Amino acid sequence: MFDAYDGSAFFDELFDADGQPRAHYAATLDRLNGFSKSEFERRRLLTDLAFRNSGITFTVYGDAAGTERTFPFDPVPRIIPASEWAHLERGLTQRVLALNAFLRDVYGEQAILNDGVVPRDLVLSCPQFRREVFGLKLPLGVYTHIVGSDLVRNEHGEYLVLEDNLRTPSGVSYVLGNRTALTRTMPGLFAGMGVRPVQHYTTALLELLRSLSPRDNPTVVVLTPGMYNSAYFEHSFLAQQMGVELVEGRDLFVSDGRVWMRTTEGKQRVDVIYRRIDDDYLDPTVFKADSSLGVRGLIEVYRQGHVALANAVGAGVADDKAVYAYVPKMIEYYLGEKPLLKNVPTLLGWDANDLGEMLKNPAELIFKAVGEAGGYGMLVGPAATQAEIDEYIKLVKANPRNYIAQPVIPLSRHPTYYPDSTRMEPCHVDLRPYILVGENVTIIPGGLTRVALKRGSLVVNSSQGGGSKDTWVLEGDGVPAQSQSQSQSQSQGSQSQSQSQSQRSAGQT
Amino acid sequence: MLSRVAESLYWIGRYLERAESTARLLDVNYYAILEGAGLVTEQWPPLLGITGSENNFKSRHAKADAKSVPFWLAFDLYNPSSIRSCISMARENARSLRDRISTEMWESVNRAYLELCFNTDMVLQNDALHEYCTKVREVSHLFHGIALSTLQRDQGWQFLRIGQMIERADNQLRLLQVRYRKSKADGADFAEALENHRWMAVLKSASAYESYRKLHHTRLAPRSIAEYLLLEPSFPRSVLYSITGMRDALKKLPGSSGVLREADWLVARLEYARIEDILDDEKPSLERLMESIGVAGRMVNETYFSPR
Repeated sequence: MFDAYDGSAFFDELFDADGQPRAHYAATLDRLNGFSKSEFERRRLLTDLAFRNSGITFTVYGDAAGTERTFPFDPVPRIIPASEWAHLERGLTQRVLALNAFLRDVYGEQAILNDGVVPRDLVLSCPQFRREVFGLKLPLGVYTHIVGSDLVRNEHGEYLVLEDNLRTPSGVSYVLGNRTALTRTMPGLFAGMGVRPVQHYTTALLELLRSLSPRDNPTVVVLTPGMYNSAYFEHSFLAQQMGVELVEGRDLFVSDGRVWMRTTEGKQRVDVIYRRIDDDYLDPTVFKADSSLGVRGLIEVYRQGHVALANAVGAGVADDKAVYAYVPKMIEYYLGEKPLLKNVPTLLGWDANDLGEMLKNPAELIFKAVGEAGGYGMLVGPAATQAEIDEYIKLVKANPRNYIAQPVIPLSRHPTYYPDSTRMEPCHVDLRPYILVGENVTIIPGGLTRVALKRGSLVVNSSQGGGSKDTWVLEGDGVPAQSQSQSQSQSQGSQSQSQSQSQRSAGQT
Repeated sequence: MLSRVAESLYWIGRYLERAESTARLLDVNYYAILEGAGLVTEQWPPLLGITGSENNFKSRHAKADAKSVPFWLAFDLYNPSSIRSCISMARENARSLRDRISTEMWESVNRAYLELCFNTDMVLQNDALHEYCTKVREVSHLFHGIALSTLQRDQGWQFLRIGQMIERADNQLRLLQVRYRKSKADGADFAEALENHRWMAVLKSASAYESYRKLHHTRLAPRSIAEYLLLEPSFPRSVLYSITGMRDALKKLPGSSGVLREADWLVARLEYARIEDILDDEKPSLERLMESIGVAGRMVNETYFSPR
């Protein structure tokens, strides 16, 4: 299956520059090569069917034919050795602490704006800056409790932060679903590898949500826009795994200064809302008046501190793609540390000099609208026609604040199985780790590896034809499996031990 | 329990039961009509009556025949009660409460949807209607079987059961209403063999043929069949059994006194009525019983689902 694999030109996750497997991949590569093509294909089809039957799907907007799709799953795992992960963990922790400090600051003293480190106009002109919550004291002082930052690797294999998702990042259900799927269909791959577990995520999330309420035994709910939302599967999955109610706006109401849900036995008080609805739709009396997804009066109860929201209202100001450019400065300003993870160089339409650069070479840049996510509202210069570029540039000129541009990062690639060619082909990948911020910072090992399945494409978003992989973080840095039979029998012995150890540590955190 | 969740469970119960009833009706009659060739070509319109969809049907199809009626009952998405519509709706409701029902329940209804609601064009052409209908029945049985062994016995279970039982009682009454009237009007004009054939189909539509035979060894008598389908307490698809099931589920719910009174009154009438009271004196009539079931359904809705 790895015949004629072309690993050149980009950083390859599995093979080094000489075409040799990297140490942490060696054993897995041997095991994959141990499958016959037909056996591999049989197992892949089983996984596909399992996803389809269990309805693990997402919704594609603006697509008339069959709006529910399964998220293509590639059975070749992406593997991250322990030392590499430790670096990422430190870098991400630093980043989310700084981002929360920034949010506390801009909704409070605004010291960073007063000191001119981040331009005041840039922050105040952000549509996600919510004056409605200015001066609010939040539980634990945390604004963004659930974070999904997108990481990419450049041609040298260096990890860069592409963007931070601080509002309602989705995808974590696929992390858990992918792990379950791969352990079922290819259990042999896991033997003796010391793959760190991920399934404790929902327990950690529930703990975090409960810690946001001062009441004993608070009622936690997940608020979804409803089953036609693209991430509905995830909303229901998380509610089910945490054992809390999944509610829609119409299930909730405000009276006597509290939030309640309608039940068959009358009203029941709600203390913490993990909302998967954007700020704009939360409360029609404060934000969009025509929203039917939200709850009338919710924000006033929130302001009085009688209900907690995760993530907090207004967190989006810090993941505005223009404000993003200042995150390294935030880290230095609030923590007095050097950023461990770099940003992708970014040109801001807001800045006259940058705008000039952007307009000079649009065909070499990737343009993004600052408020959009999910691969919507972007232009990939090198892949676009002149007409598409001209059209887009018109938008940029009309509202420069709303756009940024970045150079094309030659994203790292990973062998991915293509059923049509029955071969492994290199595909560009990114990585979205999921970070929980409460009293402590918890990051589940790994995250979601997204794969750009359209051949040659750099866009990994599920809405744009992306797929995903199970992502392993190893307990060690991996060993080359030269004498496979020996290393297997040895490692099988140590497997149960390492598993029980990691489970114990998962229980403690 | 959230009102919306309760309502969705109730409707899953109704939709799956409706799909199952329609599948039975269609399966039995489609093949019974083949055998009764010639004599019974007028047998298609009553099926529309039983499913309560004549008017809708007429706006979409010119003629009620062996093509249009099965298509309408099984596959037509313009018919909100077609099997395909019911399974799609049951699946939509299940999807909206994936967090509340067991994963196995969800997967069974999702698989049913993927198997039965797409590429249905070829089913009639390939003479695969029987397999299709069999699958529909199995889907309903599988779903309720899984619920029986995995769903928590909380309020949700009661709502699922109320939906199923109300729908079953209602379908059974419709079947009797249409078939019994039809038979009376025809009088003695029809040969006994045909009559026999037809009542056998009625029993089979209700999945009652075998159990009826065990209790009644005589020839198939319309009156005793009606009695069996209406009043037999041990037959799980009889009207009395269904209404009793609904009543028992309501008893377990908080604040049910209003609707429980209506349900108790229905049970009482069926428990004490003899078959001649219903068929000859119409006390209570089949129509009156159907109305009462409708009232109970509306009261469930007002008590538990409508926003207060």
